[in-house]
Amino acid sequence: MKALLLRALGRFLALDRRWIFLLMALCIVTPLILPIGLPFTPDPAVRNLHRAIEDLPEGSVVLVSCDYDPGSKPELQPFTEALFRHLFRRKLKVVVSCLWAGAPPLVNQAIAQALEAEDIRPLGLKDKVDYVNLGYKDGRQLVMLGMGENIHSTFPKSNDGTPVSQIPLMQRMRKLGDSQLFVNVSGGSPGTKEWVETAQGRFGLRMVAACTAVMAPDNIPYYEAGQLLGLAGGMKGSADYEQLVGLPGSATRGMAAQSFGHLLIIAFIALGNVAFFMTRGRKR
Amino acid sequence: MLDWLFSVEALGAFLTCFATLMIFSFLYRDNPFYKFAEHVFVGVSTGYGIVLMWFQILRPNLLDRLVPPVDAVRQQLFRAGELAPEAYATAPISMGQRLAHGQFIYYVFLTLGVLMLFKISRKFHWLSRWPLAYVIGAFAGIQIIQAAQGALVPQLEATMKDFSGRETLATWMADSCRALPAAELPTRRAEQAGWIADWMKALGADSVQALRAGEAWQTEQEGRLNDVAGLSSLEEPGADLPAAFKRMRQEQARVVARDADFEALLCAAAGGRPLDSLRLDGDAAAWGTAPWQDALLLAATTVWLESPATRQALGQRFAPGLGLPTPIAAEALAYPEGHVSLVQLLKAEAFPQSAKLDWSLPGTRKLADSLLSDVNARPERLAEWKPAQLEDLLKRLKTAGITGSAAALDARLRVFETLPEPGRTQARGEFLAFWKEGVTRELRDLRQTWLLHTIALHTAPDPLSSFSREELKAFGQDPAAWASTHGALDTNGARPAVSVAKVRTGMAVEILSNLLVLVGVCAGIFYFFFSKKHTGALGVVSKVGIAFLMMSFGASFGYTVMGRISLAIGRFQDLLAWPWMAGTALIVLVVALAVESRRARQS
Repeated sequence: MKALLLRALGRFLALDRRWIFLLMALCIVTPLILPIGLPFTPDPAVRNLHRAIEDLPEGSVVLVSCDYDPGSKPELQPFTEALFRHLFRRKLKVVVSCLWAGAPPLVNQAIAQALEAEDIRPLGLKDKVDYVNLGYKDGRQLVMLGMGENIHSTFPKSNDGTPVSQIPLMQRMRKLGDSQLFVNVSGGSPGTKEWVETAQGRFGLRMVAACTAVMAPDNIPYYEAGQLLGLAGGMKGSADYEQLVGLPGSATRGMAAQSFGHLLIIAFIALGNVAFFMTRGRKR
Repeated sequence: MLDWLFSVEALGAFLTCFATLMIFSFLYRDNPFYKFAEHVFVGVSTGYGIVLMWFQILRPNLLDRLVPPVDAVRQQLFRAGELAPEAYATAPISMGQRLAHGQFIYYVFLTLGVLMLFKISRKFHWLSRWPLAYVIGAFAGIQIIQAAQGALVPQLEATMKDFSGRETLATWMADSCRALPAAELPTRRAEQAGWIADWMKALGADSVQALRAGEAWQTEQEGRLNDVAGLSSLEEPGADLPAAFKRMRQEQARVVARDADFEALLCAAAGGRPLDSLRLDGDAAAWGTAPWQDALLLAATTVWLESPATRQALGQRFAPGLGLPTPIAAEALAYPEGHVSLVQLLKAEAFPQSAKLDWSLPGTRKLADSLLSDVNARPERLAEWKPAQLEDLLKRLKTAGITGSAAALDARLRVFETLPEPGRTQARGEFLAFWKEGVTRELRDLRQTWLLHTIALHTAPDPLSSFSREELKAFGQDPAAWASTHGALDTNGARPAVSVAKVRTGMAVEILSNLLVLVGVCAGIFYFFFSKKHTGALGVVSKVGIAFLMMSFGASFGYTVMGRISLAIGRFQDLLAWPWMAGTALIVLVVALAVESRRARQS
């Protein structure tokens, strides 16, 4: 019996990695095709992010810097979509800027989707009055510093070419400090780290952030230190936010797939270790 | 369906699915389809990057500044008065004119950029060090401030943990305040955040939580002041903001900055003029056309209202905003004198006793203030008030929690009635000052009361620790008496019941967590101390350090795995958006791979 087990474990250790890839693909695809509503609890950091927006008085200006591209779309686009819907629903004024060239189309897509929503359409929100997309600007930290001094000179025109001086909403938004909340959606560098270190302390921003899961460990210390009022990390963070806002979207749908993927990895790690240690003496 | 299959959209969907699957095929083995997709991706990315670099960076930031576009030159000429308006659209602009209007400083940056290209020259590669030195110097200048101000100081501050568990307690308190009944939320939440901040400071816990609470309170106060001045309605497209409005904005910003009182704000809204000098005459319908007039209108509601038409317009405009129940608001609007009619309604006992005003709303509080102002401003009208009506007013003020000023009013109203005319004005002034002082004192008392309630809520009847008892004693309160208050609050359902055991557990976890951070940081530092051999006690500590480091790396790696799986989910979600196309692409790819494998084996 033991010999049989050891032989099985030996074969497991020699398993072709492509079987693992196939199993992982099945674990991800199955819950996407057959939705399984696994429960999950929002993280306190995401709750605080949600709360920071909820606490804003109606009519406050929120500056959103979308610094990501299609590479981070699965993790961050659901957050951005829920964010705009939340901000519009709360009747907050939204100014969007981008430090990544690939971001403006994603921003326009998220805004258009939010404006089409049933609860937002009756509000009759107007471009340049209730929201504006300033578009992309190259320059990393220099742009942040420039925005801290004067957004109008840093972004002379909006994404569609309208001079900022002619945009009614921008009359209230001269510099970073004029916003009541700053939201950074970050897929890498420049992103949350640069915004916190360059602008948050210097210009006294109330700041929250959503970032990819890979970046989350780097950004958690900023949240713990109070430099970020809230933080949503990865697809789980986006799903948490969707749940808090009451708008389950693609991140929420992906949570079951994420959980099954994690379970598979945990199972393989456990089995691999057991097999390794049990067959180690045998090999010697 | 058939139309769609032959559309460009369908082709795009198929290519998306096919390209994604071609990239995924690398997991099976390296193959020409993967290589094709990879090369297409690299080529497209490079092309996109070059176009982006030209249109987003080089052209607007360099070329357009050296050789400005024709329109920009026309604008400059027009501003300088060298171009007539009628010739604006058609005036020819030569290349010489464009070059002459360029910004010559950018030739320096162009030169620095060109010098970078000397990197490829063996003989002159040293020239490329100059622009590099410029870039590194500028970047270092930014980074030094950034590192100190944004990372070093706040992160050092954050590592100085306390081991009392106060932050957990503060969080519970803040959460509890947010769970107040909806009717109380608009005013009480902001105030309570301020009280909690005060409480934290009183305890010496100058912590992140206290700062957060204080900031939230400050933001909300500013928002309320903005609302009062009507600034939230100023973003009409193309609004012509007159100079008076700009002055008002500046003045208001100044007033908000120093947290001045409402009266000062109104003065600011009126362009700095004293309130008593305001008059609203003329056609009421003409008012409100310019944004700054909104603020003036609001200012005017608390002072003289000369024209009945204006009063009526004001009433229609502001009565709904006072937070009155709809039937009462409608009744108020039926009166010809608008805002003043609210006072008349109270006097005439038109408000039924059963009608409950929502005194927690800022608008209703303002009504109370304006009632007092009305009385204070025109003491001769006191004769119109019957004792029963005065009592009713006092009762309403007490319900609103304005007990101090209500008592002051009660005492002074009767004195005014007996004063001769010259003395009345002086008495009125004195009373106004007294009333303001009373309100301030009373707000302070109110804060203290709520603070004590909150402390009692979380600590009684089984006090969590000795500090709560000490805190209550410091306020001159008996902890045992407050324990019963806590029970009453819970019974009324005004506050959620908080499990003391849960709070205790949370505090214990916080203390343990902070201890772990301390041990982990110290042990980790010792692991990197190489001047002494890691044996004995140092060996044990360094082993603990490496264990903590491994755990932190593991946690980071866990996040990385989560991110990668998220990306895979995203790709599969994209594929499943067009299931038939993805299925077709998969079949085509599998067949193509099989054919390619067979050929490879044969060759």
